[in-house]
Amino acid sequence: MRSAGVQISLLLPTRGRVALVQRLFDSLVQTTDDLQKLEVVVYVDEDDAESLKIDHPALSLVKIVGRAGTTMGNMNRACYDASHGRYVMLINDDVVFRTQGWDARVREAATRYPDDIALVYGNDSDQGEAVPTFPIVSRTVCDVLGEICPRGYRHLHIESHLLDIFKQLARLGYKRICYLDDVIFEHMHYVVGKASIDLTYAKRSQRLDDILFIALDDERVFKAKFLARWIEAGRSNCSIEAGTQRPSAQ
Amino acid sequence: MSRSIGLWFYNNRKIVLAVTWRKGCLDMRFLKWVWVRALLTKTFLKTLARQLYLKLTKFTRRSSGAIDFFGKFAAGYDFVKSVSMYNWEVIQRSRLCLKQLAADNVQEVFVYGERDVTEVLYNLTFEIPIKLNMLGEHYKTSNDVASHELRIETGAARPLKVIIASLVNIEERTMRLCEMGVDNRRIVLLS
Repeated sequence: MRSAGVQISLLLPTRGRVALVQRLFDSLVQTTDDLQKLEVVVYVDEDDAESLKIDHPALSLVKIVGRAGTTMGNMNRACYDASHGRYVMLINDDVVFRTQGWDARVREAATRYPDDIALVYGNDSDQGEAVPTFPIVSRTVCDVLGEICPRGYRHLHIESHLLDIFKQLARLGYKRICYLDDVIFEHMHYVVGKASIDLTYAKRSQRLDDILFIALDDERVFKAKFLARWIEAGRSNCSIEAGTQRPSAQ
Repeated sequence: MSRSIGLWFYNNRKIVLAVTWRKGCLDMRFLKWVWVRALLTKTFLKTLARQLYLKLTKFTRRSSGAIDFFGKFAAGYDFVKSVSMYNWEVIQRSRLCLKQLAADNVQEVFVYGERDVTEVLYNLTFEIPIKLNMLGEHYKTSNDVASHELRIETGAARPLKVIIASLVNIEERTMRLCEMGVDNRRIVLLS
């Protein structure tokens, strides 16, 4: 495992889809310009014997083993805690990277924002600009928000949660959403006929995630204010409350 | 002299609400009963409207793989049914929580959580008299704390119980309170 110099960390919770993960890894090897600056943090369940064997000789992998039934929010947080990249990208095992040099394009887009406060995402060949299916944010964004995503989301709405925070931020005068239309991260989802339905798709019950997304509406407004204040104050003037990573109350 | 004029069913238990007529006035208990239910109905409908608004404006929807009209109607109905059941559950659990606290002779508590659930608890205090002190997050400017809210740090300063007004995201709210110095034993959950 190498961590120094990692620029982009891909956070990948997976279960029972070894073949899809291998397809994803192959697409990464084919399309990434600089594999030295890329790491993949994989979260697998302790009872998923096949996924525990996931590996790839050309990729820097960090593997986290956790208990089965953990929420998607918790899995992404565990992956984030184990990651080293300046930018983190939330991905699924049913994505295929299509654009050659996608990593350079992402880095170029992200570095347009010197304070690192931005949401960058590519085209998933399904929902396009409407939904950041595979969102990319900087470590700074996560530090200011205090998290990469809330723990409670079981399967859905993590990307909608991030998008809404950045839409609120845009309302506060800071347009920090960067959509890369020609960078394709193809979502091979069964709903669009690119895969057959399996246990991972079938077990989804979205109502609890719906309710949580609604319950966190006020919190997203505040999170957007955190980001706005971070941008306004600049890193040097913004002190951090111990343990909470929140801009200080004055 | 009293006379019973009504029968109501609540929570699968048959209860008799004795509405008494005293000196030409309706018993205050009856008026209170009606008032609390009117408030709860208002909050229920307001919450449902807000949930529908968020569903329509903030939920991301798939553009391809379009669902037909009846599919959308069914999904919409399913959503309304689910959130209505959730809102009803909030009312039931809030009532139970306050009753248990009242039975323990608790007269004053802090409340930390969602706006809509907090409002339900507030409405119920007309029936179950417990003083609620709302705790809110604050972020740099005083404008962020509503006038009726106390700063979350206040929760640690006084030894009152703290109700987490939410049925979701409880783990994070509990951690946030503990982070602020609230003893875990003082935290009361609705679930």
